[in-house]
Amino acid sequence: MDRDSYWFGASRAYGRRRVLRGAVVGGLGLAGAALIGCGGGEEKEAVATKPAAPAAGSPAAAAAPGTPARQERPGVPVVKGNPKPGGTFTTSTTATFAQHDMHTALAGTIWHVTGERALELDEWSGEVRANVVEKWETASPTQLILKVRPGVKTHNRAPMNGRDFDAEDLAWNLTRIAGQTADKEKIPLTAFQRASTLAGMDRAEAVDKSTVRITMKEPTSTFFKGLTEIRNQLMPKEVVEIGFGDPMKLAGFGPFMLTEFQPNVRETYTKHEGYYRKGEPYFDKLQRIVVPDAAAAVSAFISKQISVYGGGTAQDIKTIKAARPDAVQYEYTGANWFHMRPHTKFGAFTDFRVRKAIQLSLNYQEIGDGYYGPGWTPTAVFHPNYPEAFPVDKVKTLPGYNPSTKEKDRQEASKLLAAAGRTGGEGVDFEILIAPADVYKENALRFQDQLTKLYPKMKITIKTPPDNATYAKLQSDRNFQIVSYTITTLPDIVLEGISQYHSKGSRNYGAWENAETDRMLDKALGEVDPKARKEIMLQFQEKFLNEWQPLVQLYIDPERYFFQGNISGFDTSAGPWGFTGYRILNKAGRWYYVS
Amino acid sequence: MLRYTVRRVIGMIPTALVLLLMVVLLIRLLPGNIVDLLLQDSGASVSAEAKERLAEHLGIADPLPVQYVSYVLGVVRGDLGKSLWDQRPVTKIILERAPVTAEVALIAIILSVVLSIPVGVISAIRQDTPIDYTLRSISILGISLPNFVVAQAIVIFPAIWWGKSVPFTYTHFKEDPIQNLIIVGPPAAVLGIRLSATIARMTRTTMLEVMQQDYIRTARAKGLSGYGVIVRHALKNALIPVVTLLGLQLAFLVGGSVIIESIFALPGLGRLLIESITQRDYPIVQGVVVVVGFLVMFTNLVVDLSYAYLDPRIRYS
Repeated sequence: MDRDSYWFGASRAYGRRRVLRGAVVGGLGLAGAALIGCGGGEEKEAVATKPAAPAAGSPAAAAAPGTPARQERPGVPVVKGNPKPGGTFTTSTTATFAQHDMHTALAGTIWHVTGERALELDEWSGEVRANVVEKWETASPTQLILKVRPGVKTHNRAPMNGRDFDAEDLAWNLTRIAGQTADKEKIPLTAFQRASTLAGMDRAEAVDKSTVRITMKEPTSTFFKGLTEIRNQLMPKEVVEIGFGDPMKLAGFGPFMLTEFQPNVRETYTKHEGYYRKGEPYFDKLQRIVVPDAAAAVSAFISKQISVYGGGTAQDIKTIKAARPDAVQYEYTGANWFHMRPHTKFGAFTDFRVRKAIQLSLNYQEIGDGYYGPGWTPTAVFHPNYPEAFPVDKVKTLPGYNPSTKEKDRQEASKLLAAAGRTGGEGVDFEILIAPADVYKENALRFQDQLTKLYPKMKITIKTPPDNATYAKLQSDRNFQIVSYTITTLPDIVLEGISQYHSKGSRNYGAWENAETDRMLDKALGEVDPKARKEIMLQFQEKFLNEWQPLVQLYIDPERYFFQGNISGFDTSAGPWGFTGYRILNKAGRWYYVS
Repeated sequence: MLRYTVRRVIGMIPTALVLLLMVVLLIRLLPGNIVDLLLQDSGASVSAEAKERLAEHLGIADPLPVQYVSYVLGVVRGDLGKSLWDQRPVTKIILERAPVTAEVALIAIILSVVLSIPVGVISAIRQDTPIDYTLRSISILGISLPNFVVAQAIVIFPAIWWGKSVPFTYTHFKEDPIQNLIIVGPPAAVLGIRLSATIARMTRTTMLEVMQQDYIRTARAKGLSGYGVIVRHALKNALIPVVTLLGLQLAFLVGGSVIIESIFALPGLGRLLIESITQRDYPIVQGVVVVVGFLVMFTNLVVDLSYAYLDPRIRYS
């Protein structure tokens, strides 16, 4: 993974999600029922009038906020030692944040340090977890209730001056994220990039100081998980009057407050004494210094100028391990799925048999190992960590992804090509568009190499755009034949499926159109029973592989970080659903120096 | 002299207008714009009309001639526009960044002059001796080694070998002059050493040529010391092409700073330019190119005018 996609990154990141519409869920079959308890974990109170099974996206036993239980996991060590409050945590970035309005920003902003999300995901299970919202309830299929945690203090900067973040703030955020203030603010609706995460929301109203009532136009199963989207960081409502031109005038309520902003030099954040998570943050300061060059960032880590380094290549790992054997290495399944996406309206790719033959033919181990070395995770359709997705063990047995059946799979692939009238790959000529980073290029080169060796009549060329803007335009215009790229997983499998494969999906760059695909996704979106929902998505995955194959998954990347040896706490933030690949530095409030 | 200067300045106006046309046109010829970048991860479902509305909102939807005229009028007023990404005034951004590049360039030039002219002179007066061969070899090495290779080596090897590296957090001269020089020194040295290699070779060549002139023989015949002949007669005349070269190298220094500033994490104009191009931040790209372009034009004017000082035979009418 290129460095830009980690929290060291600049002004862009992966994963804009647009969901088409809201749909059913929430009522759990208790149509018109009174409040249904579904949030809060150990803090859960008797809000519910009667017990109910958890709704999709709204589990009954969500954990309370706080440091998750510490446990060693493979690749995620727990650094022993007592917390030593104080000190500065320094990370590198390729550029300081350029956009300061979280609701319209492309990706990272200061709010990833100074703000918080309403709800979070458990880093390992992916379950929704309380955060600024301490309880969330489905009152009826079209009415949801959110309870804001008391005592969430804003930073002590005018005009907020340390007041409580309350239900009005939350309602304002939701209204604005949904793009409902676009006309009033004279901002194009398109600019509100996360509006679709709250799709189906009619209005959000503060009922009292701590309660927000959400009225849905139509029921949706994805609303609560939509709130966990990593760019749905919340802001105090005054910020729109302050304006977003000068970040130093902005203040949030997260663990750190911005106290220095030197564009493209550094950002300094200072501990928020009134942070709602008692005892946190541990660091007095957090700094993001700009180190644009990847090799320079390695040097900065080795020379202890930065506290953490996130890098992907095997060479990075080797260099750092050799120079800094005392550094703590973390490695675990990431959230980015690398793929080859054919334009399904282009030439040979219009034929399922050709797409399937490619999927069956590839040697995924060679591609994954080639860039990352060991540590990548197999995937077939959706990220295997979704509860509804094919797990890794199953993926490893699937045709194409099972190394022990590779010869047989390739014979089958040859038959498919022949049946499609393309024996030996004849007439399968295409150009691979690669996003501008080494990993995409290496994946494409191995893909090209493998296929042309297996099918000498295939003609495959590679197109390298000069920069990201060029690539973005080609992709957005669907002006490609097949593309080598990555996507960061969405918090919910149905949201993911819709954005990628629905005929109106925001990331359906391959122009995949299939009535059955749309129907299944729409149905899953409206399915309130988790078991039934899972069943639909399992069927979806079977059809994906056996009838559609609109895209060829390659692998999930490993998240890799090196921390200086005297820092602990990262184990509480790591995990596939921790989205550490984004710049979620408000979780740095949970990390500390050890004595 | 005054008339010549005024004529030259007036002659620069068409050049400036063409420069402005080029910067406005060329950046827009690049595929992709800020709208494509903003919608990079949601573009499949956004209609062309919606993209157009966003482009209008960002102020990049006007026809090219309108944008050009508007930009030229802005430049005349001293208004270079605002960044598309963070809405900060371009003039302010350039003023923040320019001192860093200027400091690096100034140190690089001083370093290169201090190193190269003695080397060039010694090489010339010791022509075809081991000293000459050694100095020429070093010069060729300096020219042959790409800046970014030397810069990467400076950044990486000390870290790997000794766990030390150049500091990456830029500190302004006013904040801490010593720390500032520690940070700015290595990149300036990288640029300066390469520049000095070029100048040393030019100095040697022109010195050899001048040393063959009659007036040098005359000076020697008059009994002037070797030092006097070299410094007062030969070097002064030999410097004319060297000064021209130095003026031209200013553009090279800004160009070279693009990579060097990235490697050493310096917030200068070079890095600003490359970042703005990749982010399609048209006003900033235009602003930087215009400022650098005007600077090069101005430098060339100064170089031309300096000939009169260096060679009294040159007079402008």
